[in-house]
Amino acid sequence: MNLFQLALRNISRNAFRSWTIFLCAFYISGFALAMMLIVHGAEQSLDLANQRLGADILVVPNGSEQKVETSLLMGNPTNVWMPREVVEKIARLPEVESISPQLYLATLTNAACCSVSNMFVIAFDPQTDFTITPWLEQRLGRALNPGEAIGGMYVFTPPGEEGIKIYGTFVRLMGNLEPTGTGLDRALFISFDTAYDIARNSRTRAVEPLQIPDNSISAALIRVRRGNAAQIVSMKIEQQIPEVTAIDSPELFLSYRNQINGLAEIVWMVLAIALVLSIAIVDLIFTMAVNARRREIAVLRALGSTRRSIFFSLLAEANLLAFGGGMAGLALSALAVYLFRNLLVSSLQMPFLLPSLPELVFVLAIGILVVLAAVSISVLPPALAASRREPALAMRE
Amino acid sequence: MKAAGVLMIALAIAVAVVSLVFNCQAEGRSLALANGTTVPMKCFWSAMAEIAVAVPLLGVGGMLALSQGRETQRTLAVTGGILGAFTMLIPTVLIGVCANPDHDCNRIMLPTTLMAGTLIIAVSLITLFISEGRTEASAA
Repeated sequence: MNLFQLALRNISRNAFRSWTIFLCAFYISGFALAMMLIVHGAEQSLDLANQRLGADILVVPNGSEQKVETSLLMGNPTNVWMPREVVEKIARLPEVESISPQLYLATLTNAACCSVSNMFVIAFDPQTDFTITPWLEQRLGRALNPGEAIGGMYVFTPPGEEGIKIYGTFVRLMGNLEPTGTGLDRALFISFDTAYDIARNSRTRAVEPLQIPDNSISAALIRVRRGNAAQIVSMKIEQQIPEVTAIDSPELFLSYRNQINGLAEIVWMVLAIALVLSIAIVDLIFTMAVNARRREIAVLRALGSTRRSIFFSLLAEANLLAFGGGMAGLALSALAVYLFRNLLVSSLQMPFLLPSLPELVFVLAIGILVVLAAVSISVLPPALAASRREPALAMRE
Repeated sequence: MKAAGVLMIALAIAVAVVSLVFNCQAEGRSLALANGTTVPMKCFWSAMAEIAVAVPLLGVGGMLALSQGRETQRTLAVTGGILGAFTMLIPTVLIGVCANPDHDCNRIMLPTTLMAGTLIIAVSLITLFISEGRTEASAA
């Protein structure tokens, strides 16, 4: 019988001990992976949303910062307006390289004239846009024509329809952007011309007309010239145009970032406590097991087993259980996070993006190593004590 | 096998209850036709089919928990595995659920049935593996 077989036999002989260690490893690895995926997924999603906007500064009407941030992150449509002349005023600033206005619109709720209920629609100006247009030129090789649209990852044309119906007007979906895990994945991007066409047509084709106030925009995206700090430029904008709020890129989604950081701190604390408790439980169980098996270990030593083989057989036993429990916990946790990602996003009110496969494999490997290390640490003292015990003394005890 | 049987019963109940509660029809959503009548969305039919799978699964779990014979356990494990596969196939391939990712059938019913189906298959495979091993051991 080799070391591995001895460990397997010991595992099958004591169900309570084996299950306890298995479940400790299962819980620690599963909980750690789930939390890591959620926190990391939310952070990654925020970074991607920032990249997708591609602006150094976002200018919105005063008091609507939270509404706009929530719309961009969670995809809940918003209705905010500011005068269009703001764009000209900001464009005159020497620090501003480019500025592009946007209109934030929404489809009607449960109306036959809209394919999708309460969908966030972003209209951009193709003449000045620097967020969607470069992507379009790369993929389509041209700008969007009137009546065409680009969707986020989850936007699709309803089966059997010629396009997505918005206020009674069909728009053709020309492609989908890469996922960001935010509300932008459920948003539809159209040009200003298409938006104004839809508004005009909606008076006769829709249950309610689409209202776009004259000479108004919802937000403006700004790129700052090299060598200028976005924070200083945004302060200058707010001083010169008091009716707007300028949010520089690092400050964008700050409340969400703080929320995620707060969650991460709590998660690491709970995880640390759970890890220490698990180490203590496994240590206690193995100490009891080694004491209960002292005669058996002494017999093994008397029959010629070395201290080293006794030590490694106990270590192998614990690590086999930890590996099994850890792998099961990681697999179940990864599957649960993957399957319930939409529920997580809506319940936590946080954006979320799953990691890529190599990233996931890396995290899984780290997870299993942490579990094996934790169990090895907890088994080390009783295994060392058992291997050092004199066989004659152990048999007499 | 008692644990495997109990686990299968719990999963079957979870599949049935979640399907019953989290389909669009149960939440008052239905498709309005041009003539004014309403028809259930396809997640409703998926939910009904899931319940139809969950009931025999409940029986399989119960018998697995009570059975002693290795042959019976093997047969029940295979049956459980097939039913587990159908639990996963109904909302994905055979019938499907609504396309809108914000609907509860997509957020709760679909992931729960997929998760439960995976676990049912895993439990069935482990049961099959253990009963196979015991059969070989007793034959030896």
